[in-house]
Formats: sequence, structure tokens, C-alpha cells
Amino acid sequence: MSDFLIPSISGTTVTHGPTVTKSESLLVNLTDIILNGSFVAIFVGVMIGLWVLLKKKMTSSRPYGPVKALQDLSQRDLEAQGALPNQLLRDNQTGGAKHAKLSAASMMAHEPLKSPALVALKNLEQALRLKEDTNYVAYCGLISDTVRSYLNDYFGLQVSNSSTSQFLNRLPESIIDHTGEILRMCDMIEFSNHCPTQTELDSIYQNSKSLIEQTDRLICSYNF
Amino acid sequence: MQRAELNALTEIIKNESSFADQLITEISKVIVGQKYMIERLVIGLLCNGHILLEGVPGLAKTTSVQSLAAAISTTFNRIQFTPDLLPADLIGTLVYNPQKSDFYVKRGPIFANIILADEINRAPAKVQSALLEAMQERQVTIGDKTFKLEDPFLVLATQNPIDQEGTYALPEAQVDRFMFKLHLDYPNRKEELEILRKSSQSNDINIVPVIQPERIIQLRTVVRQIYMDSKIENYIVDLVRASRNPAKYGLDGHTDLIEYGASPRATISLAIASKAHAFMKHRGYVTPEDVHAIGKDVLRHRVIVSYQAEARGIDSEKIIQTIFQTVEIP
Repeated sequence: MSDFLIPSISGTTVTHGPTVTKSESLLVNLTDIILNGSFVAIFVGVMIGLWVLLKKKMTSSRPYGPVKALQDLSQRDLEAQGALPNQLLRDNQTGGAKHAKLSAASMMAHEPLKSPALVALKNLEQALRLKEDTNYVAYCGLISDTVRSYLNDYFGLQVSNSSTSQFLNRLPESIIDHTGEILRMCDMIEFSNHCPTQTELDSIYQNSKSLIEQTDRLICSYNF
Repeated sequence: MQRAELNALTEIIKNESSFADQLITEISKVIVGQKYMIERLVIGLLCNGHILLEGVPGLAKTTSVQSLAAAISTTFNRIQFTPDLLPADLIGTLVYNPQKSDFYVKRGPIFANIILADEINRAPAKVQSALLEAMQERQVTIGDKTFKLEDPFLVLATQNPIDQEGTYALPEAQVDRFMFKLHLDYPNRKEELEILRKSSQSNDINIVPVIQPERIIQLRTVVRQIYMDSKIENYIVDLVRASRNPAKYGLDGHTDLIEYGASPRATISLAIASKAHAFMKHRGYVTPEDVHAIGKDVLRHRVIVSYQAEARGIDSEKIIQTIFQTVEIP
């Protein structure tokens, strides 16, 4: 072994390497322990942090990232019905990875979602109960609101507080007549104090149902 | 309302209102476009309300009114308001007859069914006041005699939005007496092309009268029979009150922008005009759509904006737009 000079701890004499003093080796060992210990501590700290963050994300009731778009939907859609928003459907139309990400995130954050068409059809079913109670104004009000809300979401119209004409003006030409017939009939019953016939009431329901089903079929054939 | 009643009313209204389509068709022989103005002129006739027209020169305001008068077989007078006009030039005066050593009444141009007060803001306040008083009272007093004005009596006053030098702006209280204030805009490209083609053709277009003035007076009663649901009544009241107390209707930022809101006269006008609009659409009941269609024309001159709003470039049109967007539709 070749001898080499290292400064001694005391600094008074030059000594050979292997022949370190007892106090010197103790100090070196102590330094090693401290350095290794802090390394482990930092590692453990980081791991705990990651675990906490992950757990928080998994159990959180608030949606993250793109799912935040869900919050823009009406309270009714989110809370009562858990509807699949039009945002999701539009993303789906583009067929991007965004949708997959959004769907996964949605699945984590919510109960399995229903399509807007299913929600709208469920609302129409609820309206039938109002008809049975002979509350025709409320029946027409609910049908009108359901159709407007569904088409609003479906086409991403962002039309709120609009009159029938204003709403129809925003729709594609192909469904203006069909929708106009439903909404105008609902307006008549709501605002004319007119006692409708059973045929009129049934036709409003059937027309609304067929409008929703037709538009939904269109989106299904387009996307899935 | 029972189904039979509604059907009967709808049937009556369909029959009675069919003249409106004929009238618009007849006026359209002369006027290209301006359907919005023509419709409002007919609504004004049906509601017994006067109209303030605002638009740049050359938008066929005078021709439209002339054509309307011809189509309803009424008398029409046009008065050009100038700074030197006197009330007597408008309503008439007592003239001395030297043969009989007596005064006789020389009636002014206001004695007609339809009056076009051209550039009303060019005449001084006393003339404006004389006209507006006649509009409100539907009668004028010359000397010691009071004369009833002819019925239907419709005043259409025009204002030019440009060239305001040397004009006398109408006071707010006077403006309130107009049922509608209409903003007229330029025709679109297609219409302008048609105007060009029509102007190069023969000018001999005869307007055939489609209704008599007496019938219009009778139709006013039919218009008042149109059903207005309490939801619509509440909606109208909310719209008008929102212009007075915006914060109460969720328009917090608008309190400083509105100096004065619409008066109760606006509530009355909006209700009757909505009925007339429903009548024009052949319906026996009013929907929120009617209120929306006519609302701006009723409210735009009645909502007075503050200096803060003017400084920020916000006019009554924008404020009304926000009110309509905010107040919940029934």
C-alpha cells in the first residue's frame, strides 16, 4: 500500500492514511449515518406525500381537470340526474383522447352517468304523472323545459331565459318545425288558460319523445 | 277559458286580423322592406298609441306613413317642424272676417287622422307642447272653442339621430306620451337592390284601401278582449319594475346606470301592445314572445340613463336588453 499524506484532524502532524485515530473514525462514521439517515427521511417523506395526494384524488367528491366542465351544467343535471353533459358528447364527437380521459375521470368522480336523452325521457315520464293529476299547465311547462334543456345541451346553444322564437332561431333548420310545434302547443296551454283535449296532451308527449329519440339516434350513429 | 271559447275567440281574431296581412302586402307595393316599422304602425293604430320614429334621412318614413294612410282610407297631413313654427301653425287660429266683422276658426293641419310631425325636435318647446297636449287629450282649443280630433288619430313624429345642432330635445315627460319609439335602420343588401330596381320602374302604383277607419276603431275592442294570463301580467310588471329598481331583480351593477325607470304608463302600453302583437299573429292569447317582440319599442325611450352610463357608452337599449335577459320568463 502506498503511503500518502492526509491532513490529520488535529492538524498538527502529517500522518499516514490507514493509521487514523479512534476519534477520527468515529466522526466519519457519524457523518455517514447522518447523511444516509436524512436521505431515507427525505425519501420516506416524499413517498408519504405522494400517497396522501393520491388518496385525496381517489376519494375526492370534486371533479378534477376536464371534469370541471361538468360544473357548468345545470344543478338539476348534475345532482338529480347525473346526466352525461353535452360537453362530453361533443368531445366524443371529435373522438379524441380527451373524451377517454374525461370519461375515466367522470367514472371516478361520479356514479355511472346517463345520456341526456335518457334523462330527458325520464323527465317526460315524470310529466305524465302531472297529466294524471290533471295539472296540465305544469305538465306542459315540464315538457317544454325538458325539450329546451335537452336541445340546449345537445347543440350547446347556451340559450337561457329566451322566448320560444328566440330559442327556435338558434336551432338547426331541420328540427325547427318539429320543435316549434311542441313548444307553441305548450305555450298555448300554459298561457291561454285553455283546457286541452286528451289528444292534444298525448300529441305533445309523443312529439317530444320522438324528437328526443330521433336526435339521440343521430348522435349515437355518429359517435359510437 | 274553455276550449270552445278559445276556439271562438281564435276564429274571430283570425278573421279580424286578416286585414293586417293585406295591409302589409299593400304597403309593400310601395315600400321595400321596413316590415318592422309597418307592423308597428298598425299596432299603434290598434292600440291608439303614437309613435316616435328615429332614423337617418332617406329611410322612406314619410312614404310609409303616406302609404299607410292610403291603405286605411284616412286623411294624412305632414308638418315640417322648424324653429320658427308657432302653435297656431299646428292647431289653427282665429282669423278675422272683415265682411262679417267676426272671427272664424281656421283649423290647422293637426285635424287629420294621421299626422307626420317631421323632425319634431327642430321646433321650440311651445310647439312640441301643443302637439303633445293634442296627442294626449285628443282635442284642441282654439279661442274659446274646443274641437275633438278625428278618430283614429295617430301621430308619427320623426327625429334625426344626427345633426343635433339647433334642435330642442324632447323633454322626458313628453317623450313618455309616445307609445313606441322605433329605431329604423338601413335596408339590407337584397332590399336595397330591389329598391334600386323599383325606382327605375313606373311610379304609378295605386294603393287599394283594405280597411275603413271605423273598422279600426271596432278592432280596438277586439284587441282588448285578447286573453292575458296572470303569469304574463306579472312578467310585464316585473320588467317595468326592474327598470326602476334593478338591484331587486339581480341587476346590481345597473342601479347607478339608470336615472329614471319606466313609468306605469309603460306598463299599460306594454300590456296593450303585447295584445295587439298577439292579434297581428292571429292568436287569442298573449305569450312571453309578444312581450319580447314589442318590449324594446315600448321601453327604450322611457328608461333614462345616468351620466355614468353615458360616460361608459351604455345606452337605454343595452340596459333594456339586460333587463330582458335577466327577468325570468314565465
